[in-house]
Amino acid sequence: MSAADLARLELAKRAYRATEPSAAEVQRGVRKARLALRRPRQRRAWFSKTLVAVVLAMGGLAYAKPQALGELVTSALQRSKPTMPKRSAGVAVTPAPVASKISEPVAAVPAREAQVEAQVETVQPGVQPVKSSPPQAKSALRVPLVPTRAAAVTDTEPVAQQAMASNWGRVGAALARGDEARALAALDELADSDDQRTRDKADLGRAQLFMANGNRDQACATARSLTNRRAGSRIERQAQVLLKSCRR
Amino acid sequence: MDQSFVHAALELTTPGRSLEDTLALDSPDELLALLYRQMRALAGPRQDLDDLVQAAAERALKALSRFEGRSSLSTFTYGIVYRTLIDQQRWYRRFQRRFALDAREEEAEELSFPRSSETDLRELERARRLYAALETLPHEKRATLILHDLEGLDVSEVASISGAGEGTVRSRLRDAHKKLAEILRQDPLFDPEVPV
Repeated sequence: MSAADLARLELAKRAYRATEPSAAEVQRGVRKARLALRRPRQRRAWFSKTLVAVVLAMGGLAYAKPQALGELVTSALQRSKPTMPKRSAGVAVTPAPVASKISEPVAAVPAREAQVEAQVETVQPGVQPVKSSPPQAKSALRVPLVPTRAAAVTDTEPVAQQAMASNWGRVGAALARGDEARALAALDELADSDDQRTRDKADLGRAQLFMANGNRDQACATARSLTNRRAGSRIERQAQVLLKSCRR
Repeated sequence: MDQSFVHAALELTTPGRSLEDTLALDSPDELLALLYRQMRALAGPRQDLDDLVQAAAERALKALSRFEGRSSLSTFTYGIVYRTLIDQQRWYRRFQRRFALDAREEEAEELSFPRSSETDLRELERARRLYAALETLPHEKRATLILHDLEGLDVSEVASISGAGEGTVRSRLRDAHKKLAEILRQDPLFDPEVPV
């Protein structure tokens, strides 16, 4: 820097000092800062963050697997009310065969595992009417003055439910006997059901039986159709397990 | 800054004590005044000065418990003020880049100095032009020049405040001098031949 530049810088310093804040200005600034710092803070940041996370998670789940959310809610309701009355709307719950009763007709071990899985799935429909029982139980407890539409629906439901339950019972009994042809026939009937979930479960059972019998192509096709139509998280997961052996 | 204030400030901000408890006492006023002066020096008389002081005060009151006394408290708080200002300017620049519709919105705001006498008017105008010239410098260079030339801190202190090496500070200072001299040379108000 030249001497002239230094002189200019001196002028700049003088101007800078001339405009330094006065004591009054500083006091005003301090007062403002104190007031601002005393202001209560928002402590709800965590709440909004959690809310956003929950909404995103639920939204993502609902988008990716529309049925999974329903399953989640149903299982949560079931868990919260374990002693639900089981005789709502006159639904007969058929005792499903347990896996331990199965004799040993199938040769291959993976096939047996698949069969057991199918049986575990078959147990579900027998219990399923209980899941939908809370609203029905409520309506059964109340004495309706005018027969409602829901009550009319529940009048016709038991027949279909009973038939379905007996079908699943046949599947279970046939599997317990080792009669896979009959089990497959019963599953075929169930696969024509009006209820989509029943159809999906029946298809999964069929796919597992096909796989157990070495009919891989048909098993894979059925499992693939299950994953394509997004048949609920549990069913889809088991279909994926089957599909893994398809890729081999 | 007397040593008793440093001790008082350190006692006030023991780790278990909340910011509200600290503010309930009187001593932070001196700290806030120090922060105000330092922020005013670095940022100039701008409209969001109070917000900047508040942001720096929050940081300072939280960080005081970590002050080990290796530098003076003034240098320590200058460092906080410097970082607060740099962060704010970076944020503002990003904000402008995204949301400013017109380049003119980036123009420096009108500075207001509370002075009125005739002699001061000339100094006032000079100061206004000085701040306008400083605004053209990059943030780090501007802060370095203000701290070293206008506030009278030495290079090692500036290095400690800005978290840069002394060589970097000297380099920034050289560049800032060069740029400022270029601007002031063209301004007749900074002509040393003209009588004051």
